[in-house]
This record gives sequence, C-alpha cells and structure tokens, in this order.
Amino acid sequence: MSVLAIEDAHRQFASGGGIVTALDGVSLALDRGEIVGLVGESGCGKSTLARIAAGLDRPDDGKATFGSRPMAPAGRQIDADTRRRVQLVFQDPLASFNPRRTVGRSIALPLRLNRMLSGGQERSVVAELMDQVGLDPALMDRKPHQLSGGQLQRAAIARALGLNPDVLICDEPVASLDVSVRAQILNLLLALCRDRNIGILFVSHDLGVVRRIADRVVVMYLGRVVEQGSNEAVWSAPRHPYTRALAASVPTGAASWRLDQGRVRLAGEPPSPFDVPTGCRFHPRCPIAIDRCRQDDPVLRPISQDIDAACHLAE
Amino acid sequence: MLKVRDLAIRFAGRSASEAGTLAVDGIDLDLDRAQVLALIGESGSGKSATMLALAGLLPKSAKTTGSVLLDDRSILHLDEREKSTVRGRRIGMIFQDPGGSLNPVLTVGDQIDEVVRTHRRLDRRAARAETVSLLSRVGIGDPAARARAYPHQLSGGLKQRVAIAAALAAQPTVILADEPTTALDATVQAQILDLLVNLVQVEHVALLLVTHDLAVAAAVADRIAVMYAGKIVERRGPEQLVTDPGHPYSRALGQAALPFVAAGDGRHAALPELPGRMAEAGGTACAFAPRCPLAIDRCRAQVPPVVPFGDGEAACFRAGETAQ
Repeated sequence: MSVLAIEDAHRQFASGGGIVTALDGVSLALDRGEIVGLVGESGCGKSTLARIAAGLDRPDDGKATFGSRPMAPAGRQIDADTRRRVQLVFQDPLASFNPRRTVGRSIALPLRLNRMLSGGQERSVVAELMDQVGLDPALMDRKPHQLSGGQLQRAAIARALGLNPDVLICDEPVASLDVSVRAQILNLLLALCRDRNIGILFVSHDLGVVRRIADRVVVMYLGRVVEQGSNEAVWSAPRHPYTRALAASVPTGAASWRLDQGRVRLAGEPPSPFDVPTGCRFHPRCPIAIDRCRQDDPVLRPISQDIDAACHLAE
Repeated sequence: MLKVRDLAIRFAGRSASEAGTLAVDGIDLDLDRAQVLALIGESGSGKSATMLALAGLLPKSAKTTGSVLLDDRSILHLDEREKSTVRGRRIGMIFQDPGGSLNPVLTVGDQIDEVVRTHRRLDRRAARAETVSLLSRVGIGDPAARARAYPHQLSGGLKQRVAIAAALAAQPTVILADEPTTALDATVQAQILDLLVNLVQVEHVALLLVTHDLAVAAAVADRIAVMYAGKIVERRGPEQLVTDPGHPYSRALGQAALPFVAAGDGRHAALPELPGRMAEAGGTACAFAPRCPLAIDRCRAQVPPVVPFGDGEAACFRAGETAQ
C-alpha cells in the first residue's frame, strides 16, 4: 500500500476576481523507496499538488492520506507525526534558512521542536546528520551565506533527514545549482531512496533530470494528469501528444536538433488556468486533435500495462 | 566583426589594498554576422562578466584590459554618451527574465516605438508600422493588437519575444543574449530557440549566447566556447564538442548536463559527478587540475597552452584523452 495517496483532489483559488482551477481531479500515489517525477509547465498544478502532498495545503474536494491516516482533516492542523514523516526540500536553499542562525542550529531546530534532542546532544547529532549528507561538520557554526549553493542544499537535506521521514517532497531541488554540483545532490537523493527506503516526490521542469532518476513519471497539464507510468515507458514511447511534445522540446545536445523537421513543435503556450478549454484541455495546441477532442473531455485510462493516458487517440 | 582580444576583467576589492577578484583572465572571441557563438560555463567561469563588459554594463570599479572591437572600432573604454549610442544602436540585449527588461507602465508597442524612433528618425506612424513588423517577425500573432498590451498581460514566452523584438528594433549588428530561455517552460524554450536560429539568418545579425546549458548551446550555436575560471578552455563546433570533447572539463560538463536519455545502468544508479568546486581565476597552473581525473604533475605546475584539437582548440596537456 502506498505510504502517501492523494485521490481525486480538486483545488481552486480565487485570484484577481476570477477562479483558478489548479487541480481538477488529480490522484497520486507514492511508495516508500521509489522516486516519482512530477513534470509539467507553469500553471499545470504541480506545485499545488506537491503542497497538498506535503500537508501544506488541503484539497477542496478529494482526499489525501498518509499511511492509513487522512492527511489533514478539514479545519484541523496536520498531526505532528505525519508532519514529521513528510519533509520538504525547496529550490532555493538560501531562502529556506534563517540568515541569522548558524546552519547547525537550523538543522537542529526541527529536532528540538519535536523534542527529539536531549540536553547536550545537539552538536553531536547535527554533526552526524551533516556527515550523512556529505557535509563537513566543521561548517556547523557558519551562517547560510557562508556556504555554497550545493553545501546549503545538503544542509537542507540534513535538516529534513533529522526527523527520520518516510517521504521527501523535493520541489525543483537542483534547479538553482550549477550543473557539476547538480549530480552530487541527485546522487545524495538517490542514495537516500535506496539505502533508507525513503519515497521521493520529485517536482521538476527539468525533464533530463527526471528521466535519469525517476521510477515513475506523472505528467500534468492544466490541472490534470494527462499521462503517467514507468519512467522508461513514458519517455521511450509517450502516448499522450503533450508528453511527446515535451520530450521533443528538450534539446538533445545534437546540433541536428534544430534542423529536425520531424520534431513535434507546439504552437502557443498553455492556456490560462482561468479559462480552461472545453473538451480535451490540450486540444487547442494538439497537432492531432479531431472533432471529438473539442467536445469530449478524455479520462485517464490504462493504455498498456505500464502507462495511463488521457487521450481519445492513445492506444 | 566583433573581435575580442586578451580581455581581462578584475573586480575591485573591498579596500584599496585588496587585489580584488579576477573574473576574466585574457580571452579572445570572434563573431561574424549571421553567426551564433555560445559562451558556456558555470557560476564563477567569467561568462557573465564577459557579457557585461561587451555590453558596457560593468561597474566603474571593475578594471578591464585588452581590446573589444566592433567593426574595427574599440568599444571597451567609451564615455557614457558614446557608450549609450553603441549599446543602444549597435548591440541589442536579451536577458533571462523578459519581464525585468520591459517597462510595466508602458504598452509593449510604445516601448519598441521609442527604441525605433531614438535610433532611426522615423515619425510616430512609421515607427509603429516598424514595431508591428518587428512583433510579427518574432512570431507574435495579431501584432497590431499585441502592441497595445502591457507586459503583465503577456505570458513569459510572449514577453521574451517582445524583448527580442526590442533588441532588434535599432537594427543592431550584435545581439547579446544572457540565458534567454532559462526561465521558460520546455515547450516555450524550444520555440524561442527555433526563433533565435531563424532570426540570425533572416535579420543577418550576430548572436552571442551566454548559457550554462550545453544542450541549449549545441542546439543553436555554430561555435561554442567553454569557459572555466576566467579562461576559454575549449572552442569547438557543437557536434564535435558534444561527441568528442577535447578538454576533460567539457567532457565532465557534457556528462553532468544529463542528456535526455534513460539512466541505462540500472535503477537508482549514481550519476557521474564532478567533485570539488571551481578554482579562482589567475593561477599559475591549470585551474581545472584539482578536479581533473587526468591531471599529471605538469598540469599542477604550468598553465596549459591552447593547442589545435579537432575542428577547434583546447587548453589541455592531455586533450582528447579519457580516464580509464
């Protein structure tokens, strides 16, 4: 059974006099020891879904459960145990640390708040955590601005690990890092997943990263999951035309990419979530849309053993 | 047409006694019309300082030496007035954040009109016609109506197209683009890259693309210069740089850039890492030696000279060799 499950979540926000539908019936499951890549473009709802998975927000309708417990009963704070077991790592590590507190104190803070530290242990526990993420414990007394981006992201992971979580929600954790540092952080996350059986929800716009590390992929478009399945199946033979376009939009490193006439080129940008198209929400940009797509909203359905897609034409 | 020789940039230290930081350590660049040169590197490589120097946007406290010639005219040490004519007229710029370079209280048409009229002595009506034509050339549908929109009414991709139109408005000879697609979504990035490739041909401008992304550079550039610790360590055509890099740093960058392929070596397998971090510019040895799997004593004692390699050159004693 999945450790984290979101079922048929709906979430709307009032914004500037209109209603934005961020999630329109989205389900997501995460097991321990697996990495699920959540991809999609701006406005697709992936960050809202990640916030719900982390217990920072709750769906208007639908449910989120952690283990066997509902994640956030309506009108109540998320319970302390669930809060401890789901931890977050953000894109900008500098913004996620208090600039006036030493890195060591920041790493210790969640432990102290959860009364998991007894007097006098703090420095040795923090040193141990820093060591586990490949960070020199001598940096414990530094302030955040004295560490590099990569070091600080390791510190953020150390802080998350202190509470011994079952799940890490990582929102673009390497997007602000240099490419040579990126692999170091990704390897750390891979090792945590492998060695500690932690489940990772990895939210990213970087398809190259997702393709290299995820076990499963969930592709979102305008508040819906349009395709999901095993990482290999989704990228090697995408069934939804949007996923095909996404895959084709990644420069391959080959100079011939620019001349490739066969490459799927999408016109326009994702429509505003204020004004979702009728029928299939992808149809205005879809290169293969037929009449039916303008009227019937396709549901997510199994296409093969390891892929679901929401497209009338998928087979 | 754009010729950079032995350009060095030093940022001032906090006090007069401090030596300051060397950001760029003697680089050469050549760029012709209808060509794309990509300058790639990580933070601290000096690529952004180079771009700022070419744009005339370095702070006064930064010391530059060497020469930058645009059509045989030096543009490195101009006074403020000359600088603004060169910068506005001859050099167009595109930045990572398209919203940041547009004025939020003017319509995009008014902003482009202003550039057109400043540099080209057209009346109001002719300027607007030119603006609409520019918007159309950067792939904006219904350009006359879009010209009346304010920046906040446009998506990120449209704003970047507007910024590109504004950069072209003075009919520059060179366009400097600093990470122009980094903030954009994948499908929009692909659109903007297609547009840039096309514009360089159609408008016959030179494009200097500064990026951290090797795959983006390879998709657009005719030549790629790889910077590390203030120096250009390799200069190649894109195909060869990707498939047969000469410098071990270029190789590491190619592996770390995570080409869009499956891991291939099993579930949760580790990715190739580049340990350590970039050295400061200006050393007396190869700056990459401390991180290099191929480093030998000589690399730690001397700065490697630039040697011909493949369709370009590399600054490495062991160019083209691979670690076992």
